[in-house]
Amino acid sequence: MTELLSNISSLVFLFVCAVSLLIIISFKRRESDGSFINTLAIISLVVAIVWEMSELISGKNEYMGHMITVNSFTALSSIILYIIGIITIVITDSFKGFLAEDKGDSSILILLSICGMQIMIISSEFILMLIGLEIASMSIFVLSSRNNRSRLAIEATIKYLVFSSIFFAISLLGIAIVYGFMLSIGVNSDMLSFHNLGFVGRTLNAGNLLLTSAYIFIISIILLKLGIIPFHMWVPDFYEGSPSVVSGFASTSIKVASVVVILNIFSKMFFMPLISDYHAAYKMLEVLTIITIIVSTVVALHQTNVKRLIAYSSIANAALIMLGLLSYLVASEQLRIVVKVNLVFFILVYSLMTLLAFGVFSRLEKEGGGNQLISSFNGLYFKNPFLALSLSVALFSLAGLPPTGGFFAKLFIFKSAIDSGLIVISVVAILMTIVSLYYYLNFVIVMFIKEPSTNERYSGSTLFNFTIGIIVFAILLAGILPNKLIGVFELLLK
Amino acid sequence: MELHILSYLVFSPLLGLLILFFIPRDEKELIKNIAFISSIIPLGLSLLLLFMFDKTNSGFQFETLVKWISTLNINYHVGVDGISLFLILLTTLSVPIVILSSFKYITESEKFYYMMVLFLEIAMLGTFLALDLVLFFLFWEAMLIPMYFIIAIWGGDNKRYATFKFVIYTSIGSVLMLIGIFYVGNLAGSFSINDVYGTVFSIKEQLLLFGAFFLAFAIKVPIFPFHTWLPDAHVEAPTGGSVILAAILLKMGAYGVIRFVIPLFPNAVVLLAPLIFVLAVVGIIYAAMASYVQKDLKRLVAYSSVSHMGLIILGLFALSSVSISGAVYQMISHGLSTGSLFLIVGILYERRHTRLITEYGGIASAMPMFSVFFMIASLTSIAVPFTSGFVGEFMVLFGAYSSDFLKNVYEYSQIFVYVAASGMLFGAIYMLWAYQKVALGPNINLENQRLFDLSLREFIVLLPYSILMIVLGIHTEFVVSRIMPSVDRIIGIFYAGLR
Repeated sequence: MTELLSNISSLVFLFVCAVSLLIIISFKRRESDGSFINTLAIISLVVAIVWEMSELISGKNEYMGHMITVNSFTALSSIILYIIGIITIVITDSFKGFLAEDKGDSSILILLSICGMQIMIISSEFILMLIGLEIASMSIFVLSSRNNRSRLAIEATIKYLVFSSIFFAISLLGIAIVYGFMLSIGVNSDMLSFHNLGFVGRTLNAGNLLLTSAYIFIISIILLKLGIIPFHMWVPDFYEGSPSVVSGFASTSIKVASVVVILNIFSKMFFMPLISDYHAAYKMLEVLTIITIIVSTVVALHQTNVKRLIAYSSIANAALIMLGLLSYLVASEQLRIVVKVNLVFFILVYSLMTLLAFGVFSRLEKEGGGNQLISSFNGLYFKNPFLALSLSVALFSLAGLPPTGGFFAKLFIFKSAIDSGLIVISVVAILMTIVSLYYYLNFVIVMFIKEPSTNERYSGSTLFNFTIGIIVFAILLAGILPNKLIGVFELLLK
Repeated sequence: MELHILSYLVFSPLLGLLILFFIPRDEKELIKNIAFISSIIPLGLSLLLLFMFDKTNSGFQFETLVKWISTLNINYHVGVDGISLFLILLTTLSVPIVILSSFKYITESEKFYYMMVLFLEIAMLGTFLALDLVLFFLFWEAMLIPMYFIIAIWGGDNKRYATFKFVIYTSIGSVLMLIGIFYVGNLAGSFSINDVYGTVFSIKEQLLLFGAFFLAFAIKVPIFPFHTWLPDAHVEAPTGGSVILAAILLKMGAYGVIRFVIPLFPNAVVLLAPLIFVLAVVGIIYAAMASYVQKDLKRLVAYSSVSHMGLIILGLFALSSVSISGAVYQMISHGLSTGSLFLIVGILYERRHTRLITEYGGIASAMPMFSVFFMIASLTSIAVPFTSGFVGEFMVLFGAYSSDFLKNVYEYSQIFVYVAASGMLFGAIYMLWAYQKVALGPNINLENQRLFDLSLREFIVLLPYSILMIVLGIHTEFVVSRIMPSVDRIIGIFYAGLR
């Protein structure tokens, strides 16, 4: 027990922080304006990062329990999650919440959501993973519906809630089937010893199809969270309806957790030696990835609302993440480590650029009200060059142009996919990046078209500008010196 | 001895970029001066490079190889040979000229403009010096962003259409090249050019890879059916952008052909050369004819570029030592003359705010000094003897005519050379016609009579290009003796790989 606790200490710490903040807020709700709570939340996240890092550096955090696996990879992913949390809270704080009556409750919800996702990350069996997922999603439902005067926000939340619940039930069904066959649902369990596998293999002869569909059922909840087509229906509405900060947080953090879950649990379950039919499930993922890349890119061409545009772009990026995961599944043992490193790099850069874009949106959301049409960004450069250039960096990075991090992120994903032999998907994905260039650049150019009528100038708070500046710097640094980051990841994940 | 002069050269504009970053944007004069002075540093370094360059060495000199991304075998690898040396000099010379010429033309967000120009210089120098395929691609793609901003912010009325066309066309080519680069790198074991040059590809691979690489370069050059982005981009770009586009960016496609396509895929080159000759010759004649009917002076110069680039491609694929050296010489000469012509159009536009040829006439009486520069650039463009244009075109045509390779392509394949030579005639027609319409004749338009001649700044802007056009027309040996050994080396690699 103590061994377990010492290994998940940062998670426990974060949870304790969230609960104590909840207690503090119930006393101070009247006099505080939220920044006190937000500051405490940021401090607790920073402490958690330091904590996690010190364990990472000391290198003694390898732990394989019955339900939990802790290693350098989970620690690294947790740090990325914490960074996402800090950025989100800072952006929230600089606008005093997305609601006037926000007293810092949103940062508590963000902390709780991060706890849930960290449970997902460290889990090594399906049930715990689903519990973490539910904890994370609950907070996100509340966050997205906080602006309860907006019809769009309610619609977004309901859609997300309903779809999540349905697929939650479906994946539970899948878990039940897997348990029926294997008498186990975890990758670390003794049940998966060779002795048992022999037994499983005998019973499997009749039930391969059932087991394959069970895997598809379980993975469908992850595909839903990633927004892979055809599980994507909630994504555009959710992004449009919820406040920009929440959209940014939900789209990035859940992707980090999902990637880790697939790498840690699904890749092992899929590749159990005696299940010859994992192939069907794998093929399905391959087909869905191709469809997602093509459809999301083509549909994004017609969007006039910036948040829907970024929603489809995030679906396209989820497909690139899937491409990385697929190459991980088929790669040789030796190549897997490289693919893993590339995936972590991609997910980090993707999180930064998406948060940057949504950060700028939230700034303008505050100024310009509810209008989020691309045309409302006309001439932004002449009103606030800093915001316009930052958003351009984010969009160029999403489009994958150097010298931004997005270039190398995509390059690495394509490289590892081609090396693993996924030529067709890679070529389709590369060609689709050209198409995507059209809508990213279309968005960039409107910011530089001068509108003589508008003379107002936007200006942001210092903290907000500082954070945006740091993210821009990080994206450019990842585009110029990716070797440093890759080197660190490699050292940690080896 | 470790000499990092190339790395200093590539990243020297970064100094000015950083200084500009910290200057408030209202200090307009200071920004201009700093931009100009910082662009002199790369020029000085490249002159030093020219001085230290060993012309007896045909391989890469001043090579620097640093491990960069070791998991993927991508290295930071730069080096210079005779082919890239003069393109580097052209780049470092053009950037100060562009900055100086923009002092009056760019009137808003100057800081960002000069930062973008310096950023572009890094990308351009990097493209010419990179000896690692991925590094080359990185710089190649990085050029898009500053160029995009330069056209999109300071461009003309139709800039949105022009930037889109420019970026989408260029990216389609480069993305295919990226796939090709991965394939080549996988096969060669590394992306470094020394490893790649020694790799043998099967005929089928060569054809596919040739397609992937050549399309990217063909769009950038541009070769005939892919040229439509160029006139639009030129017309909408500000003067500085046009000069960079014409003088340097177009040369990158041709440079890529010499550096990668010819040595790497010799069999595909042999198989597809007939087709490319046709495209090149059609481009020469078609673009020349198109220039003749243009009403807009800038569009005329843009089409003349397409015509000249066709000649360069003909020279490259004729694959004789003289024709390729001539093509490189013509690349430099074309950079000087077309760059100069775009500056001239820009100067006229700043005064009259129109580029229609019919609006002008007889301005030689009002602007005598200006007309002299215009004359020199026009004559170089149509390759009159004692200008650099003559040397380049003559070497290309002579080299192609005497090339054994071209002779064996078809039975009457030397007809390509005859047709291309007639392109020179067309050149004389449209260029002299335009000069006549603009500068000569009676000056009846009142507005044209009020035009004032070049200021000192404009004089300094036009002078270096004009002097070089004449000097390179007479003192040829200095350049050719440095280009030729490297070209011979490339041809050697080509024949060594031929099966």
